[in-house]
Amino acid sequence: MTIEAKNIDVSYGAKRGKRKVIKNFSTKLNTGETLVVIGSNGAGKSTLLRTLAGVQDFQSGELLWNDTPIGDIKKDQRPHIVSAMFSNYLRVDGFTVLDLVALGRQPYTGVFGKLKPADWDICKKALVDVGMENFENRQIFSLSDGEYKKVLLAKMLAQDTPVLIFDEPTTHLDLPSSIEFMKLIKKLASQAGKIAVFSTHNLHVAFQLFNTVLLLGEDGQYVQGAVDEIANHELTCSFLRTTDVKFEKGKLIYNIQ
Amino acid sequence: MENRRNFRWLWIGLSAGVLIYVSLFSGSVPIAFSEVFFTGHPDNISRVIFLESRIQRTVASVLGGTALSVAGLLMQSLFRNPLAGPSVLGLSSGASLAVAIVMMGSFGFTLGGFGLVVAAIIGSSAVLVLITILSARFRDITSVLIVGLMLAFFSSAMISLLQSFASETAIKAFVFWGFGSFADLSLSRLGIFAIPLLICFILVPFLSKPLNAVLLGETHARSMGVSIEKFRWSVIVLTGVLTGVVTAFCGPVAFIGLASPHIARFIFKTVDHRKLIPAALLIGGLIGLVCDIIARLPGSHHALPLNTVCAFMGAPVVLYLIVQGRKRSILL
Repeated sequence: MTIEAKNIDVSYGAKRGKRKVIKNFSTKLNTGETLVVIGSNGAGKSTLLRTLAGVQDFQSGELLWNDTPIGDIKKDQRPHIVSAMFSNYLRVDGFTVLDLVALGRQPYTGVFGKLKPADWDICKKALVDVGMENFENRQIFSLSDGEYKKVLLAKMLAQDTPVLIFDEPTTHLDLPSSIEFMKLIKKLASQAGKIAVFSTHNLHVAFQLFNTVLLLGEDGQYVQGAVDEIANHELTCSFLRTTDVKFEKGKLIYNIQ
Repeated sequence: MENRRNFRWLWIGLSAGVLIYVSLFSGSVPIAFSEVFFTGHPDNISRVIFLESRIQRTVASVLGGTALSVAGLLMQSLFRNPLAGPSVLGLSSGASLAVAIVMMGSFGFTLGGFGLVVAAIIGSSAVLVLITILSARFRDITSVLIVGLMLAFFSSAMISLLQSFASETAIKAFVFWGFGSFADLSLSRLGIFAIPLLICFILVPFLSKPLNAVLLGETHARSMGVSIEKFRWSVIVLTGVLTGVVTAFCGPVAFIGLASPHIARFIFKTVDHRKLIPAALLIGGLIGLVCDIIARLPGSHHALPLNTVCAFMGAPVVLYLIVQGRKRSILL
């Protein structure tokens, strides 16, 4: 499995004041690779992830899933390849945990969305994989943010796609939950060979768990590479904007004056 | 759990049976079951009333209730707004304005029942399209409701304008139509009423998959392979037809469309449209029956306008559900 962007431009605002958020962006990810996307608020992280996930139109360039241009992949086939969790997902309180996970099997069902026994087994296994097997019949409204995020992850696993895309999955999570969530992502990528892309502001956690980082700067500038490589890049300096934090041997060192 | 579920169906089945019986046999002139079916002359008055008025009225109140309920459910899911409904978002007002133009405008010719229906469908769909476009711009629930409210004000102003130039008979007809009623359908018009609604009822369940995907928002639906534009247009057309047809024949009936889906969610404890659509159909039909029966004031020679009954029943129900729903998080 590969996912590849070639010279992609994304702009917002169709008529007046067209603003290019993503400029001439290229990247390529192979089976088992994880990419951590970082950048200031408004740098275009969500837009980039939406584009890679195939839910955002782009003006020029090419997006290839397994060497096939996205336009040639039918809409109902796309959820078999990429599953996603975006920060603007709404919380549906009326479902039980298992019902919500079962939404992930919908791309494999018929017109009326009826699940087969095998589908339910997949959903239950997905809950085991995220450590939420005891929550099956709990109502969504009774879950904490961290638990809800893990249920959404189980839903993505039930969707059984080779590519997983997360838009700030650890926002609103406490530190232990953030670490747990990112370790889950790492496990999925290394053991199940999934491609995972996620954005985060939790740099200190992400840099200890993952190696490849994409930093989005202002005006569509970007740099991608190993944590050590981007540490001294000028974009990183302008991103950090402060002398209170600095990179040392792939770790963030806080020395707040 | 399973037992309680069966119990629920038993209750609904029982109340449906009782309500249909009451609807068929009571009213300003109570009629007896035996007189209609067994004893009595073929032309006796009970049988005539039964065949020429009661059956139509019962069918109309069931169909009208289900149609508004499903329309309300579709709108609540499309806008992800628990307070959406055909009357709240101004669809009924749009249909009313279209009907007013047909009934009171000086066309010099009468369009008849069919023209009225088409006008009402166009009126309600137009409002829905307008709200969909504007809601994409606002994104928040309250603004969309205010837009609906303003559209309602605008169309009632337009209607007043039309009324000041219309003939007295036309005004009278329009005012009576505005009270709302499930009673005014002859057997021949019942066909024009029922066929489009039944077609919609058959089509709506095909939307349950995208409707469920949209519960988590449009981005989620897109990532699940839903073609949002196609989905949105399907909902707009179906809701427009459902609301338009009911409004053309029964007047701008308030509250049923807003309250029924909530009662369905409340009773069936689900937000899954595969269960919720049949549930909303059932509950809508029952509520249509209840409202119509109360409007008849059985045993008395008076009758109430349907909209009076709907408002009396619907407003407290909606308030109760909002208060309870906030607590138990069953609103959507």
